[in-house]
Amino acid sequence: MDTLKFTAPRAKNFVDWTTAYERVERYFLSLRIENKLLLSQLIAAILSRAAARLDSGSELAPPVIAMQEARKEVDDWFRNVLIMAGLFSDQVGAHGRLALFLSNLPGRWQNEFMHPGPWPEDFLDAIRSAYLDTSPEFERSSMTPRPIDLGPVSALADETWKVIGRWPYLGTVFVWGLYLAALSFIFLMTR
Amino acid sequence: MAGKYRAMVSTRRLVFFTTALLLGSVPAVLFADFLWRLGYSIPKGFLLALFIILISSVAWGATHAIIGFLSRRMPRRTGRIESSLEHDNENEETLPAVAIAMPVYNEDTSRVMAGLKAMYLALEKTGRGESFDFFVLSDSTDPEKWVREEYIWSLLCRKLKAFGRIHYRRRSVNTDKKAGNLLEFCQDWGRRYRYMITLDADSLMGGDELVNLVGIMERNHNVGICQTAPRIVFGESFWGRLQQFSNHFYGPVFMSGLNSWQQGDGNYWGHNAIIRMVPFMDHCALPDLPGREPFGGKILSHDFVEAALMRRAGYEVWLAGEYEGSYEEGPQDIVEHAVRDRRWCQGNLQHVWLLFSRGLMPSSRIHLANGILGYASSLFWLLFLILGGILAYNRERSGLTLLPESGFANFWELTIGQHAILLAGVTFALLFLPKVLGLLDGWITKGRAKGFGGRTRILLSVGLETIVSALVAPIFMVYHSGFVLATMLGKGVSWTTQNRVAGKGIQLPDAIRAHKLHILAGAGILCLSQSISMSFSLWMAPIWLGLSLSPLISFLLSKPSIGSLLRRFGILMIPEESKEPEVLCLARLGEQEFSELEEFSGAFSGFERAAVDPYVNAIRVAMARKTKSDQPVPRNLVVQALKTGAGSLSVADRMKILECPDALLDLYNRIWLDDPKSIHGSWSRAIANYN
Repeated sequence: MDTLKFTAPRAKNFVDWTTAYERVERYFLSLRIENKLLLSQLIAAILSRAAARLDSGSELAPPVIAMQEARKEVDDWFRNVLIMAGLFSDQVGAHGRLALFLSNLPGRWQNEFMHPGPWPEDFLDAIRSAYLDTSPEFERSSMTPRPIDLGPVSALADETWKVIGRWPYLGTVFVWGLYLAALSFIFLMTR
Repeated sequence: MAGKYRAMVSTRRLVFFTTALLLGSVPAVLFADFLWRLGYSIPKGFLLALFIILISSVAWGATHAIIGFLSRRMPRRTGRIESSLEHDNENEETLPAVAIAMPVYNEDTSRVMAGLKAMYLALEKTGRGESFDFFVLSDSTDPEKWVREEYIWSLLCRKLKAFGRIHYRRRSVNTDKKAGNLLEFCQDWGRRYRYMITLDADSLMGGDELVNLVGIMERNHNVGICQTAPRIVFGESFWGRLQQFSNHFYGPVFMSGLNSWQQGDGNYWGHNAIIRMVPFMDHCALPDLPGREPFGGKILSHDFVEAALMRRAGYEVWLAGEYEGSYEEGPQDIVEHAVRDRRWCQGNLQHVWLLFSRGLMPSSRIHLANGILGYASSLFWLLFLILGGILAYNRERSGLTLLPESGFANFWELTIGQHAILLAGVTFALLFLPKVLGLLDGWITKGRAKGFGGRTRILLSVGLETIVSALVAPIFMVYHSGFVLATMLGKGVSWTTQNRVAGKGIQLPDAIRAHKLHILAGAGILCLSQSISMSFSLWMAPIWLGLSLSPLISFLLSKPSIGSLLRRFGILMIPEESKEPEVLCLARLGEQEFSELEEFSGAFSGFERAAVDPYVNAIRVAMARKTKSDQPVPRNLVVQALKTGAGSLSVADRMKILECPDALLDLYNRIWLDDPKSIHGSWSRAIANYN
């Protein structure tokens, strides 16, 4: 961690630096870093680097530079931790975040966050064992329905269904027939 | 041994079916004689046929109550699968591999995961947990639910150090709904396990109970399925509490009666049951039915059919009816109850196809027929009322004096009026017999009354439950008749999630809208019965009163405030409320814990969380990488999301991004790294949530 040598950077609009500050702070808060001292040190150091980049001629807005610096720092740290843990990933960002979540860095290892190594073996073990195991190995087999003889009643119904399927109007006529039969039935009943 | 068992089963069935026949035949003969005395005609023949169907169903229920009540009084209770646990200590040390499968579909994630956590902890406490693997088999299509499921599952596994023990699998294509979900599970992992315990999203089972279920299967190698009788819990509303009280109070007597005749020819209800994997996979794959949905096609109510196929393969299916520690939740209001019934109705009516299939056991046909009649009898009841009303109207309109013909009731010197009263008395006695026997069982079974608040409170609870049941019966008659007709006319039902939360209950305008058909039916019956005579109208009062007041009844029954008031007075209590089992307590606490997660607080959608939150995003990206997809990266959708916000994306577009790891990673990076001025303001607001 760099020593604190940050002074308020020169910028056309101080609001940009406020936004940069908030952005970086929220980035670390989103990683559930709640240690105030660590948080303020990290933000100050990152904004200091962003200010230096702006001074050296970058034309990007302060929030963008600040976030690029924050991401770079965090990714570098992730990479070092993963290497020390004997792991390698080309997706260091996503892999690192997943490892932090699964090893419960916010709850158990917050003090190790962004600290240079060497890290405690327990912490590295937690990172090593941080694997998202969703399901066991497949042991594929098939489940094939055995034939069912539906019997003569269902077979007759099936045939009728197929006939209705071939001539959809027949189904409609059948329903109308039922309706008319019900009306006739009520008519006869009330005589 | 097998011969002795068969003889025992035959005797039990002989007693049971003879009792049912005797009980049903008395009112049937009385009614036939009554119609004869009024002057026989063809329409009255129809009426009699309908009455016989209806009274058989009533007698069937009453017989279960009588036999169940008597079985529970026997000093040595045989014919219970649970008793096999008492005989020996076989396999006490090692348990075989068991999968606990929980299919979920857009469910309340907090409740699902809390249930899993509770069961996992309860199993760990038994010291036998290592034999059980949990599987959350998600078919969720709602990105909100799905993202949340994955996150809470990861959190749960991390907390319990249960990666490799609690598994999560989601299907992106929901082939064949729940049955297909379980089928895919069996095909992928079924061979790894000797048993599968199936659960619903709201199921809960205690640790000892899960272990004992395996013990039952280990001791009875010819049992293919052992079904427990889940007790309804967590009822909040008036209706919810009524349902759970009925289930707890009358359940044991009824289950005992059911088990008495079915023995190893039982049924499967789809959850809270243990299944032997090899015969299930070899024999219980579901065939397609002839024709199209809703009547044909894929089998919806797969459980009954699977039990029938298991029996056809020669394996027994048992009901562990009095097995404690198996729970589920129920709907909290009438409307939600009807929504569930609509699905079940369609599924059960499909079974007509299988009723006459060759090779099925007679008991399996009885189960299928019972399921069909459970809904069709409502239509028969409605037809009975219509036909009876028309006949009474005709008689009244004719103005003729009634000259009764002679029937055998003349031997008892009954007038036609006394005959009618006797008939009504016998019918109502049969209807209310299960309640009376349930009450008696609650009173005289040692220690039982205390769990329900004492004998006086039991009496009050049963009285209240009986009045409400009578009022809602015609409402469900109209509902179920409509469902049967709709299914027969080819109107299918979509796959929906059951809402088990009472909230604030139904509002009165919504209740009026939901019950408009009932109001009309009630008014129609009132007018018709009034036009016949005042006395006929009074006879019909339970019908038209329940229907006409249905919105008010529905409104009141949905209220959790009334539910909690009743609880305060100890009415409709269940034993689990006075002494809460550990698994229920853990589930309740877990649900509260998961529903208050800060990751999902605020007004941001699950999709926005997956795009903004570093951990939710990392989990989704990792999960998406496990699923190979040849779909191109939807870069245009990422740009659209950035420029116009998540709200501008359709559900399908959100799904496309969520299912593509590169797109989701790109979105996450750009939300955090791009100039805040260049992206939609909603993303900055989502980021501002971290403070």
